[in-house]
Amino acid sequence: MEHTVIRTEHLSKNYGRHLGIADIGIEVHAGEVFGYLGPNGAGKTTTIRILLDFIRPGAGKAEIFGRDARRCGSEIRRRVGFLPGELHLYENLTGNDFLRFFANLRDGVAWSYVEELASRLNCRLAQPIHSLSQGNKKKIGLIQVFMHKPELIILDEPTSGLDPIVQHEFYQLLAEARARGQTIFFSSHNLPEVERVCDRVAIIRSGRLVATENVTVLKARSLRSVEIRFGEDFDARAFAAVAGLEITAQDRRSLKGRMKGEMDALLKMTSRFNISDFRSQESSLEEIFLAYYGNNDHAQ
Amino acid sequence: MIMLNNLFRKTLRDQRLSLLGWSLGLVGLSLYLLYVYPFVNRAAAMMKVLDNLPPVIKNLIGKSNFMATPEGFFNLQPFSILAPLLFIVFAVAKGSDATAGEEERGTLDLLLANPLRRRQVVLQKSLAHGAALFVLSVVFWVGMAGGTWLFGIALNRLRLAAVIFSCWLLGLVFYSLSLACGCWRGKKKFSIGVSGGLAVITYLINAYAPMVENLRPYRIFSPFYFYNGNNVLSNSLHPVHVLVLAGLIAFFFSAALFAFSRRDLST
Repeated sequence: MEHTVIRTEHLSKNYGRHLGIADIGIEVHAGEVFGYLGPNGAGKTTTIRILLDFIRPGAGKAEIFGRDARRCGSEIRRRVGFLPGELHLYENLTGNDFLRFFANLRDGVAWSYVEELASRLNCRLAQPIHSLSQGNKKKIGLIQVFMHKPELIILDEPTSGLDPIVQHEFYQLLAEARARGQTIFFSSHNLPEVERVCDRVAIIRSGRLVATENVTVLKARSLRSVEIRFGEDFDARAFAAVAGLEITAQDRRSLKGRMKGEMDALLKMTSRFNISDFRSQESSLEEIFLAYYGNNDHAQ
Repeated sequence: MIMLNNLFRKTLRDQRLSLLGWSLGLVGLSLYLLYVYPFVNRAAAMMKVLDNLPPVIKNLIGKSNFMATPEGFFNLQPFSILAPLLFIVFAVAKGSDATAGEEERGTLDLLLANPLRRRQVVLQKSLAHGAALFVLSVVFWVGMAGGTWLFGIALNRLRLAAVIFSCWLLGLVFYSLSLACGCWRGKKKFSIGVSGGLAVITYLINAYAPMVENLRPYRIFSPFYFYNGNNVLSNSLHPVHVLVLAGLIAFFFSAALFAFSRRDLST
């Protein structure tokens, strides 16, 4: 049986009359990369802040390493690395001072590993934090997440503000952490990113859990908007028969629609005609939610 | 460089510059007052105005022999207004910033993601701020005591230490009050507003109580009464007054711990 690292049951939180989260039940197993996917304001940060005991749930319970997140918060956080979505560092310190301060609040941080991480992320630690760009501040935030090799890593929208090269290095660090058996809880509103790094995904919308899926299932449920312009009149009836294609607009020589799942059948059908333009792009998370999970959305 | 190996030391380190500035200011203030004292004393003796003041006013600002003796003069200035005001300003600035400042700047989440209990954060920061205020007290005493030696003024240095100690306790009362307000609501402005407002009100109650019959019973609700109601420079510390100030500090500090441990932190 797999060891459960995070478990929430009926976890709920209201902010006055505004719903934070309701009835969230998730299980994250040891060694997996678990995505927590939802649009901005869905309740991802609220869930994470309850897990770390920054806020208290209105109902339900949260456990990490089998221990109550509130009563054993300090012991739990010893084994956790956390990157907040809105990162604020001590601006009066240098990167070095900041990381030494955090390293000394924990046990078992090898400074050589801090330096290795800084080198890999191309992060200058000697500079005062107030003089750094947001991207460079995020690098320091990432170093403090990984430097003590925690058993559980909780990341709230970790890649926003990172340039592509650093993002690539960050994904490498995640892969290494996963290979070491560390568990990763990864919140994001970016579906391709979650597909890339996660094993399983919980999808949250308007404070409620919509589904928990394996990433392979989610990938099969991709949704793309397509726009095709033909160099000749085409047979619209032939396209109506393409499985997964929902046509939203058409005329004699063009077609617009949404394609669920694999593109293979659509491309084969399209290739029968003379094509002047073919455009396809990932749909927004909101469109995917509506397409796949609309009926499960209990939000008001 | 001070090592940043725990929150107590980091909090001390963060105050290096402000402590230096405040220390220089307090030493400068001490030397200035000690320098002007002989002139004020001479002028007061010549004018003989002061003897004609109503006893109640003389009582308010330092017994009947005020300005004629070093105890009388220094009890009025700086220990009636300036010293407690400066200590309270320093204390409230630190107390309101301790948790509420971090919360407003958004650094508290990351700090508390470490294996620290909330009460440890309050405790370590408070110890560091209390120590900083104590350093200021010592510097102030050194400035005043050194100045009396320099200018040849006969002032009991032990009682000088006692009144500065009492001022430190008064500062800690308003520190722990502002800490509790910040821990309760997480807003610096709220903390500064409540603490500053109460400091002004309780000061005015204590200042006018000797002249206003109806106010006199309410003096015991003012920390300023317990700070120097006994005129420490002339009569030394009153143990009950020290205990009352210590009790207030303990009460507000406990309230801070209670409030901070139980509420949701804002993002």
